[in-house]
Amino acid sequence: MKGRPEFPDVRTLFTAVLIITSLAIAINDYLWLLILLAITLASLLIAGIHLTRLLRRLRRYRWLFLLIALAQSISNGSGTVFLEFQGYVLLSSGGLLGALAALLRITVILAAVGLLSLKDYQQMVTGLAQMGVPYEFAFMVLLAVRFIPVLMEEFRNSLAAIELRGIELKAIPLGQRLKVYSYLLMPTTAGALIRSRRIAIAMEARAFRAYPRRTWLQWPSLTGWDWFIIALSLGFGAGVLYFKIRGVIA
Amino acid sequence: MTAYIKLEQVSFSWPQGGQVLRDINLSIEKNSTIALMGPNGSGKTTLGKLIIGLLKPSSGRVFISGTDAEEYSLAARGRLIGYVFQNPEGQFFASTITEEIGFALKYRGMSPDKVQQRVEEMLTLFELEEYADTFPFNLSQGEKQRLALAAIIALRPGFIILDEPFTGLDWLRKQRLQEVLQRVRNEGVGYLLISHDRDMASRLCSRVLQLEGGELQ
Repeated sequence: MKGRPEFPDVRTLFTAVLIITSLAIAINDYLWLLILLAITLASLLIAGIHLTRLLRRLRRYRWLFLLIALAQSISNGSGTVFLEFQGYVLLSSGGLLGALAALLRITVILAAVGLLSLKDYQQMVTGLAQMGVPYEFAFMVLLAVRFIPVLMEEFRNSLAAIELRGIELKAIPLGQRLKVYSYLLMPTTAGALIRSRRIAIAMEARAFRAYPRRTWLQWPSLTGWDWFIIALSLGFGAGVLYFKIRGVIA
Repeated sequence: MTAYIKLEQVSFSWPQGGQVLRDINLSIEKNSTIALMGPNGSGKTTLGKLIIGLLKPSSGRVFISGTDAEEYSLAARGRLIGYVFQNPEGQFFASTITEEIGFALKYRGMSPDKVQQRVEEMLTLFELEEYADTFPFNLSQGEKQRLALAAIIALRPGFIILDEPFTGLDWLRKQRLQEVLQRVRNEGVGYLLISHDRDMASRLCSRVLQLEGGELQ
């Protein structure tokens, strides 16, 4: 079934996100990573996505960022040494640039993934199916992604349930505390399995996979703008990779 | 009589907007049996969660045993008040019923012999002996409700909050749970029963509170 084209199409977004995230992983040059970040942020703004949402997400990972930056800074002792301890370089210009590149890389990836928030769950499944991904597989992957926050919520509830039994987690020794935490895996896993079974039954009751072919409420076609963005993304990605292989970009 | 739980001008709104409770004033004695009734979305569960500390009031104060509840950790509140979740599955984390009942006793420093004794006592009281080694998630809804209650009663809390314990139970199971709650009452333990079942509430509780539009009537 043909549907009204709606720019940007999911395939366009997938292509752009795939190119941006791949380049963010491949490139080490912080200046090029900055350019990539600028392009991504501009795309988010043009798409009407508030950057505050991105900032909230970045804030959630601030400790991970700090840890990665520290690890980068310590493992890369090149350039001018600023801080040294018993022969080990703790802070250097090369380490700082490495840490900056690592932070930029993660920010670019998280920002690029934010572009996908333009589409809802059903549009994503349709888009993946249009790209040739088997429908069942696309559905399963997106269902799993959708359940991550639910599982996290369940984990938090189980933790609260343990504390509500009067167990002061902070007061018990670390070994015992880890053992208590291991208990949390049980309800989370059991809950996920029970929910999966219920969803599978509900889907089969609605004739999921009962026929070899299925109809689609919408099957949108690409607009001229979609083709342009896809071509531009692929061209940009190929160009940067070419210069990367030639050694022009680090 | 001194109030065991006291709410002073407690209001609660969700951060994204929408007021749930408005200026709630409530005093509950330790061994009193109180039913909290009201239509869906009236704030009954929210009130229970505010008392136990799973939610924080937007304004007003909650006192437990004469102390501002803010001074208690979640675990400290749990030692004073037992809380039975609306969905009993939400409070299970052990792999057998025996372990589920004995878990907190063990971590609260009780000797293994005493833990065993208390667990057996609870298994008998709640007619769960034959399921002692069963995985909690494999029980029927009624059995899960009984296990949830057993795990809380085993801790000998001063007071219990039960959130819709009769939901999903057939007539026979409701009667059985009613008997269990009567036994709890006979042991001198008070409770706040959040329920839709008016008959059950009037049978099991000495006082019935009606919550409507976020206010106590």
